Parts: sequence; structure tokens; C-alpha cells
Amino acid sequence: MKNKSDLAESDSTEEVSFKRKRGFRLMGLNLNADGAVKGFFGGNAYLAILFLLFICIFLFKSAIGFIPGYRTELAEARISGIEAANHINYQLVGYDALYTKINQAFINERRDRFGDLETVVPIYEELESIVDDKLEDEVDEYTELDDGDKKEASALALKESIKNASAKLSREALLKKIKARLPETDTISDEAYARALIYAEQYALNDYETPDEISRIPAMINEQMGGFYKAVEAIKHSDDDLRQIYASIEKKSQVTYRTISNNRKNQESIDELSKNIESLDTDPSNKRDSTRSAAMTKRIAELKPKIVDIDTAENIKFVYNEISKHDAAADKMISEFQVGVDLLAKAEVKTEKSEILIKESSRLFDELKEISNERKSLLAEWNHEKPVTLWNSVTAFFFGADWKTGSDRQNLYGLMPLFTGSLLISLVAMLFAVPLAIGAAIYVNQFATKREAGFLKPGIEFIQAIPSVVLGLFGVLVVAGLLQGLSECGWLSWVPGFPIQDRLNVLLAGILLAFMACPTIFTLAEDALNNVPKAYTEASLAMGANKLQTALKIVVPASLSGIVAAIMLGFGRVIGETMVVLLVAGNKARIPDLSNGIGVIGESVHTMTGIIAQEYGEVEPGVLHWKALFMVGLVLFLISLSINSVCQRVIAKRSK
Amino acid sequence: MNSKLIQLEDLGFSYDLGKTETIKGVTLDIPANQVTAFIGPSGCGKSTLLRCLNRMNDLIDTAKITRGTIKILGQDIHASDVDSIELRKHVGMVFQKYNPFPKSIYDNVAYGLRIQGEKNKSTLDEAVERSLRGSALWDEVKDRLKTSALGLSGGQQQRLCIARTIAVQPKVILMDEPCSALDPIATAKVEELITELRKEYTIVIVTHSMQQASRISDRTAFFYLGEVVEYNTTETIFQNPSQQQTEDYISGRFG
Ligand SMILES: Nc1ncnc2c1ncn2[C@@H]1O[C@H](COP(=O)(O)OP(=O)(O)OP(=O)(O)O)[C@@H](O)[C@H]1O
Ligand SMILES: [Mg+2]
Repeated sequence: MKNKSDLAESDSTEEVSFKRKRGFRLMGLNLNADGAVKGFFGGNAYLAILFLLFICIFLFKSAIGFIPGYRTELAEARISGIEAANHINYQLVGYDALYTKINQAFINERRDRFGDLETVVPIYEELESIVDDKLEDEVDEYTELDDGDKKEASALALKESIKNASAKLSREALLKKIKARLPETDTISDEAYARALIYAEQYALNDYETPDEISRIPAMINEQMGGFYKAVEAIKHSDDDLRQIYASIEKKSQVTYRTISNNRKNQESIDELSKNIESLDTDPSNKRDSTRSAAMTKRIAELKPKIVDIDTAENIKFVYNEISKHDAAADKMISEFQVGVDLLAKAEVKTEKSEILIKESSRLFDELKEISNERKSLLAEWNHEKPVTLWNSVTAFFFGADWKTGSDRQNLYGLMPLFTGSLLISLVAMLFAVPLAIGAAIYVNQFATKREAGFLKPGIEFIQAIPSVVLGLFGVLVVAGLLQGLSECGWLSWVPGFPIQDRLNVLLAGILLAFMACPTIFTLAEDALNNVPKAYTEASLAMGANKLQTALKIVVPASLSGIVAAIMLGFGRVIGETMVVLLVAGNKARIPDLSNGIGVIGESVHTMTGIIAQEYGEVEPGVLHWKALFMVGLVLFLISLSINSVCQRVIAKRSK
Repeated sequence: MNSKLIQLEDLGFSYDLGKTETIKGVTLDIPANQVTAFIGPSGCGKSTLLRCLNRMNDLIDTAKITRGTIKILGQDIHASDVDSIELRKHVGMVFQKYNPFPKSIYDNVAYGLRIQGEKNKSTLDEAVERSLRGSALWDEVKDRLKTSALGLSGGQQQRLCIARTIAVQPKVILMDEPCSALDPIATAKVEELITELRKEYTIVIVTHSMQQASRISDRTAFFYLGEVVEYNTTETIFQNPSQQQTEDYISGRFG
């Protein structure tokens, strides 16, 4: 308590004081309210940065062991000969792609020329099985009778009952069954059905003997297909020798590889256990850990016998022996294929679709020849003792064309299929999202009335609130079917990629992701448009420009950098999206076949985000596969980071 | 006709659908090829009235003409068959804060013609040169036509805005305190320019500077609370005003 005179005095002298206000002291710090608030906000801001740093370090730390680890595995694959087998396999993959095309052309052409005729056989076979299953007893009854008149009458009754029984089999079910064998079939004509029915009756009446006509139809068709048929036959088996060499190398070398690999892993565990025991032993304060060290010793004893001797020399001799046969087999494949291709060139082709396929296949054949030559020379100088460098391991990851995991064969960690998948989906998504979102932003910002903007804006922004798993499920359950149905409509057949082969595909993922990216792009673009000074708009309108001219010539150009930034951030969002692509992209880790042109959007792909989400749960922490997933995560992180920093630079440049 | 290019007849204007009037029955005739100045205390509705003349107020949802008419060149600008966009092509406007587009000098001046569909390069070139000469800017910028307009000084930018306006050869140019953001030297240049432009255009200018009004205008209207207190030749207004309010305002004794 101060007395009055004190107060008066302090009033007069301390009326104006520049002294710092006293706060409370805590651990030597003089804190006051301002400082505490500042500290709270500052602390939060730095916490975010710290967290980001932490993520970086964590990613790098987890991924870093991958490159040397993969190098070890690649070296083991080389020593065991798998690499040689892979060189052969490349040619076989090329062959398969080519054969599929030619065969497709063939089927297509056959379908065009003979139409229903070829469906008669499978329809007949279905009917035959009905006769077998359901009518057996009845037929017995009728065929046992031998009195002439009675027989005729009963034959009629029999026909009738076959008809009735077969009518029960719905046309749709029949079509489905036939489609499995003749994929190009889309309808069953009445004519073909009637014809098949006649044959089925003959079958029943003639003591279960397949009518000759039925067995003659395929041969007749093939004969009439002439040069085309011969070409396909020539090509069909040209790869046999090569395939056999591949199979024998692959089989043996995979066993060797597995043994070498397991030996190494076991040895590694033993080494680590021994090191642990040693450190426990040298630590005198740890008496009670003697049980632990005993357990570890026991484990080592268990592991030791698992390391088995393996004669790699014998294995590699076998591999080299097989390789020596390779060139002849590869040449045989090419020369026989050439025969087929020559026949094909002369064969009569009537449909445009087949013609396109054949044209494409002649290009693919040139590629196959190239691949074959390339692999021949690679195999000629192939040496199982050549060391694998770290750089080899880096390129094998970044440019590897295969991501194959989860089998007991050699695992392949090639980024390319995932990267291209992610990129392709993102591009398709942007193709839809950019015009949609930017258009909407321009409309809402420039043309919409207040009331319209009042529900459009929150409406579009609400999309962001939809959990991506919900959107993904919606995609799988609803949009996928719609899209496929739509793609099968005749009047849409001009769209590249239609009809879609894979139910889950790039297009579907792209559409859903576009939907997800819309609010991001919309909001940011709308912001950018909104930031254009009103003075520009006013000036333009005062010059006699209408709203559209003002929007397109003044407002959009003035906010272009912001719009570009919006698009890029949308792209970043799309490429990082996980749940939706996991559900709807189809998850087939293969490089999309760009030779289909835009049709590639109908394919299933896998993505960088999807693979992590899908495989992470299945792998043991610390193993190479686990590290590979972190490498993918790291790449993803770096992509997002660079997109973001470019955007920030763009935006910073704009605000200057 | 010459003496009545713009005719306001008992004009009333409201920003809130007629609840309160900001302009309360203004009647004025603005003659052609003269500079007419609007003066008056802040908030009395000078800018509002100016923006009525090219219907810029249409952009405000709740704006409404409550009574009276505006005729420009004898046509009622609120007639149902009048397009405000067409009107603005003939009634140009220069704003208080210079606002060239973030484009090149050339594109700024050519903008008005381009939106009218002019694509011929030589026509555009000609118009750009003529307008820049007309706004006394040509010599300063002729070597940098393709550079950004935002790199010019404030005074140059304002003259560019004038050039942009005269490029489409309007009948009337409305100027809302065109010099208020400029220093005295730039102001002098713009004033000189306005005096020049009078030969070809009819100019209506809002200004807070009494000196400026007396220097450049032929006629002056003094506004107070949305009404015209006095409208006469500038000479009369400044030397022999008939209203006490006017005299108080121009002599600076205004409360
Ligand atoms: N967009 C608007 N919406 C509603 N009221 C407005 C709007 N613009 C101006 N007003 C009001 O109308 C009245 C007149 O404004 P105006 O801008 O015409 O005055 P002024 O004479 O130009 O003033 P100053 O000399 O300060 O520019 C003011 O009371 C102002 O608050
Ligand atoms: Mg004003």
C-alpha cells in the first residue's frame, strides 16, 4: 500500500515512463504477455519447419540404404545367371506384344468375313453340354425304342424337349460363356443359334456323335482365311526354341539366386547377432542380460545350418551352355516370323481395323529385330563376373522398366512403370480439371451474380471436404461401370481408347482426380482473378469493352501467373493423391503402352503413391523392399517440393 | 446543339434503390468543346454525377436513377434501346488514380480500337501515334512502345490513360480529379494537355483545386449536398459569385 504523498510523487515523476514493463520471471527469462504470445506463435511456426526437416531426414535415412542394397541383389542376379535369362525374356515380351497384335487382326478379320459361322461352334458346344447333362435319361428312353413309327414320333418329342431345355439357358448367359472363348463376339444371331440347335439335335439322335459339320467348320474357316491363317500359324511357334532356353536358364538360375540371397541374409543376421552378443558381454553392468545373450547364441546356432553350400560354378556352366544355343534360336524366331510377316503382306485384308493392326505390327517387328540384335550382342559379351557398380543400381532403379515384388523370384524395383503411371494419370486429370476449374473461376469471378457465386463457390470448395476414400469407392462402384458402359456405346467408338478393356484405368482415375483437383485450382485461380485491381476492370469497361472482353483481355492476362501457379499446385495435389488412385487405377505395374496413342487411357496402371500404400503393410521394416518403397516416397516428395517451390517463385514474382 | 452537348434535367440518383438520394435534382447544360469543372466539398456527389454520364454506376447493383434525364447529343442515355457499352465508346473516362493496363504502352493505347475489332496494323500504328502525340507523350515514349506501361512515371502514366481514352476519338472525356495523384510539374503538363484537348473534345473535369478550375475551365459548377448551387462561366463563379455559399467555398472560408 502506498500512501497519498507517495502516489502524488510517483504520479508527477513517472507520468511518462520509457521503462520496460515488468513481467514474471521464469527460468531466468523475463516473460511478459507480449513475449509469451510471440513465443507461442513463433514456436508453432518453427515447429512446422522442424517437422518438415524431420520428414526429410526420416525419408533420406530410410531410403539411403536402398542403392547399395539393390546393387548387392543385382550382383547376385548376375552371378546366378538371371540377368542372362532377362536378356532373353525381353525378346519374348516383344514377341508376345507383336503376336497379340497380329492375332487380334486375324480374329477381327475372321469375324468380319465369317461373322456368325464361327459362333455356331461354341453355341453348339454349350447346347451339347445341356444335352449331356439334362437329357441323358430322356434320350436313353427314346433311343431304346426301335419300332419305326414310334421312333419317329419320339424323335420329334426329343427335339421338342431339347428346344425347351435350351431355351431355359438365357441368351445372356450363353453370350457370356462364348465371349470367354471368342472375345470379339457381341451378339448371338438367331441364325447361328438355330443352326447350332440343329446340330445339337443331330448329336442327340445319333448316339452322342458330334456331327461332322461341326468339326469341319473351324478347318473350313481357316482354309478360307488362306494366307492370313498360314501367317499366324508360321508365327505362332517361331518362339518355341527361344522360350525353352529361357525357361531352362530361368528355372536353374532362380534356384541359385534364391540360395545365394538367403545365405547372405542369414549371414547378415548372424553377424548382427554376434555383434550384439559382443557388446552385451563387454558391458560389465549387464548381468541380467545373460539370458538374452544365450537366446541370441541359440538363434545363431539355428541360422548356421541354413547357410547351404552351392555350386555356382556348375550352375554358371549350365547357363553359358544354354546361352551358346541362344543365337540360333533367336535367329530362328526372327526368320520364321519374317516368313509370317511376308505372308501377311500378301494376304488379303478387308477390314480397316485389321489393316491398321498389321501396319502397326510391321513397325513392331522392326523393333523386335532391333531388340533381338541388341540382346544378342549383350548376351555375347555377358559375363557373370563383371562387377555391378553403384551407378548401375541407381539407373536400374530410376530407369528400370519393371516393378516386380512379392514372389520368391528376384524382386525388381524399377521406378518407370510407377512414374509413368502417376504422370499419365495426372496429365489426364489436368486435361479435365484445368478447363473446368479455370472456366468456373472466370465465370464465378467475372460473370456470376452475387447469388450464383454464393452457392457456386462454397459448392465447388466443398468437394475438397469429400474424403478421398469415399470418392474412390464411388469411382469403383459407380463411375467405373458408367464409363465402361459409355465406352461400349457404338456412337462413341471414335473416342481413342474406347471401348475400354480394363474396367479400372487411367481415364477413370484421371476423371476422379480431376474432380478432386478442381477445388484447389478453382480457389487459387479465383483468388488470382480477384487480386486483379478493380481499376483495370473499371478502365476497360469505361473504354466500352464488354464483360467478356474485359475478362479475357484484361483480367485473365493480368492474373496469368497466379493461374499458372494454381494449375501447378493442382498438379502437385493430383500426383500426390493416394487413396483414389489405389482404388481406381487398376494397380498393374507396367509401363503404359504408348504405341496405342491416346488409347493408352484405357489401360490399368500403377502409381508411386499407390504402390507405397499397397505394399508398405506387407513388408518387414528394414528389408530392401521396404527401403525401395521409401525411395519411391522420396522421389514423390522431391517432385512435390519442386512443384511447390516453382509455384512460390511464380507467385513471388507476380506480387513484385 | 453546340451549346448543349450534355443536358441534365432534374436528375436524381440513389445508391440504395431510391431510399436516399445522392444527387438531388440536378439540371445542367454542358456545352461542346469547352472544359466544364465540377467543384464542391468532399462527398457532395461530383464523382457520382460524373459516373452517371457514362453509366459507370450501372455496375453497382443497387444504383438507380430516381428521376430526370440525361441527354447526350440529344439522345436520352437511359432509353431502352441505348447500350451502355456503345455509350462508353463515345464518353471516355480518366480516373483519379492513373490505371494503365499491365501491358505495353502500345497495347494500352491500341486497346480501345482492338476491342472494337480493329486488326489492321497500320491503322493501329497510326492511331497510337496520333493519340500519343495528342497527349504530348509521343516524344517521351516513342522508343519504348513495347515496354510495360507500368514502367512510366506517374504523370506519364496519367497522360497515357488520356491517350488511351482519346485513341477511340470519343465525343466527351470525363476526368475525375486527374491530377490529384501527381506532382506540380506533372500536373502542369496534364493541365496544358487538357487545354489543348478542348479544341477537339468536350471535357468535364472534377477537381478540388480552385486554381486548377480557374486556370483550365470555361465553365464551373459548384455542388453542395447533391445539388447545383451555382453554375456559370468560370470567370463569373470566381470573381462574382451570386451565392454566398459559393463565395465562402472558393475563398476557403467553408465550414
Ligand atoms: N459505391 C457507392 N455506394 C454507396 N454510396 C456511395 C458510393 N460511392 C459514393 N457513395 C456516397 O455518395 C456520396 C457522394 O460521393 P462522391 O464520391 O460522389 O463524392 P465526391 O463529391 O466525389 O467526393 P470527393 O470530392 O471526396 O471525391 C458520398 O456520401 C458517398 O459516401
Ligand atoms: Mg470524387
